[in-house]
Amino acid sequence: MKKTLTINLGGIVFHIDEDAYISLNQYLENLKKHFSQEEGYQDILNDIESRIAEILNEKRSETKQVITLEEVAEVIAIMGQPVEIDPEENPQSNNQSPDTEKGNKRFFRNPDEKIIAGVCSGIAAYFHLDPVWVRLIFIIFIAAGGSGFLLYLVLWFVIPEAQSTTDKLEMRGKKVNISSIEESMRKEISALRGQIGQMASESAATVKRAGAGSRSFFEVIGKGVVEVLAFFGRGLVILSGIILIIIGLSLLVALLAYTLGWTGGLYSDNEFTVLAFPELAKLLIGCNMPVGFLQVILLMVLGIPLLMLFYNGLRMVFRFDRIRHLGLTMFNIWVLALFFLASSALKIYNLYKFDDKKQIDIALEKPDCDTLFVSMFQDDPGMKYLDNDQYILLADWKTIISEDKELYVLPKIQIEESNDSLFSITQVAMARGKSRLEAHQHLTALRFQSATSGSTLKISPFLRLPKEECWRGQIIDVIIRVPRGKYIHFTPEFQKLKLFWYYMINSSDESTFQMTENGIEVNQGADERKAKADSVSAETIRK
Amino acid sequence: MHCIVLKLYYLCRMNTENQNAQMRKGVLELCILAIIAKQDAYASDIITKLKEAKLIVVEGTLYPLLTRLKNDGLTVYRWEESKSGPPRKYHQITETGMKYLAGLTADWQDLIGSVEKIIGIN
Repeated sequence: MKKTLTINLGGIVFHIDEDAYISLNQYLENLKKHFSQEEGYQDILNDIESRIAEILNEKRSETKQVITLEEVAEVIAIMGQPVEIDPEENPQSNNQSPDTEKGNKRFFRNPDEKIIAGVCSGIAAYFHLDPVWVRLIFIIFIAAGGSGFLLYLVLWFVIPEAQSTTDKLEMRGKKVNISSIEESMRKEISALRGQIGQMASESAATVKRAGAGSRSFFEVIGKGVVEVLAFFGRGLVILSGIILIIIGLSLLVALLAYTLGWTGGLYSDNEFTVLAFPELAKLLIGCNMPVGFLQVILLMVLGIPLLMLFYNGLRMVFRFDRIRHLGLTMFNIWVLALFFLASSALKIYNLYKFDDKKQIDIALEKPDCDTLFVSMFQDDPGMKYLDNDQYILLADWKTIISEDKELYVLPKIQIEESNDSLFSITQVAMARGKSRLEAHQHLTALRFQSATSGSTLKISPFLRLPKEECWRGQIIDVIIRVPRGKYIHFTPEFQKLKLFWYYMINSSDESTFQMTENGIEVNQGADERKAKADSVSAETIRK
Repeated sequence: MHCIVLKLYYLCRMNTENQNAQMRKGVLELCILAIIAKQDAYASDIITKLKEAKLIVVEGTLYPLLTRLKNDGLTVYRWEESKSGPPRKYHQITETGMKYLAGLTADWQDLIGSVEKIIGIN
């Protein structure tokens, strides 16, 4: 069984097999191309068409109604190929001397095996390679600095697309003759079956154009401008598509890595670690809420827009049909996820709703001394972590997670000017919770030691949270008031803690400071004095 | 359009297969014009006669030549009803065509005479 088409050839109606139609159509197209430079080429074509119709009509009988490929081949043999008809007209076919086996070879873009514009498959066809390798090379060049991308655009612009069978044969470097055309046409027939309708409408358009006579100059120019604009438009669309794909994909990967905790933490610089979401959520929210649920919600709220970005980028580049209802479905899911996220955020807020504060004044034995010495409890568990230089930032607080999974928070030490001539120390502890009671429980669970003896203040290097405790904004604030003109000395361990005010003073070598009218300042005199004292004592020892 | 015979003369001095076709085409123009001059003809008539004389191999050759003759004002055509199909295009020679044909025929005979003389001597 074969499909037939009804055609009007030179005013006579024919039933013609599909394959025969393709063959005949291709032949007429070739003739048209061949004679297109000739004055009145439309007349020639019409005459030839009429003659073909006449011959085919003679071959018809009552019992034989349908034109087959065989008859079309016979007619073509009678009429002759363009080169046989008129060798003089086509200088290209003149150059093509009979003894060149391979025939003309030209660069064409291959529209049959294209992914973007068929540049790679065209090159592959020229060199008889598998297009995959050419594409791979291009991708490598794109990855290594993007030069492949530019090259592709240029080639796309410069290399014409193979449109006719002759073009496609020349693209592969095969000699153009009847048998090769037939061979390649046979290959195409199966691929073309789906496009028959389109081709029929195209040939109808050709006939219409023929009726309108030759195209005017302005029509040609107009068509050219439209084509150039369309070309640039398409290039722009593909460029933005590629950008969308890259952005969408990389952000999706980053989002997945962060939300699912692939890396454990993101190292923003040498000193701070931004915790991945699961760890962070465990600390911030704790056992009160399933972290997995939050992960899913977060992935949806942030991931769906990125996914759509990626999808639209793909569509812009590869031009496939939109998946039905995808956008609407995704939007609905996104709105739902947003709602859950909002409700989760409200729950999280409630976990931190109430706060409690405990303020103690630490009495000094000698508040009127000249220098206040600040040191650390040497037996404090936090001493082990003094040399740690990877802090985790929890809502602006530098913290460390110990080996025992306890949370260590760096205390805040503030130095202020005293109102009178006495040193005074205030320690403020703060914590939050979902109720006042819970906030108070969090507060009392804090582990932070401080003690004085003589003119020395001893504190823990870190504020420690018990293992089971979640972080609920627990902080310790140590406020030391220094009278003007007096000194405060920190033991060298404090330098390792990298407290914020150390940066303010901008000297990590000094450890003695003086309260002046300009605020706290490095006391170089004190250090010099100390150095002198050291050398004096060394001299004394030598003596 | 210059004298086809001169063109032929020129072409005789070249030696490729292609030139053979060129020469044949030049002669064809003369023959087509002569056929049309005898009687108004449509493509199939002309083809039949040319085929009998073994002057053409593929029919397609005829149509560009017919169009060229028409474009040069040597022939005109009219449409005539046909019993067995769509209307046919009948070609008819013009006065210019007649004059041209006369000149061409004279040239042709001159050439044949000259060539025969040379061939005879050799």
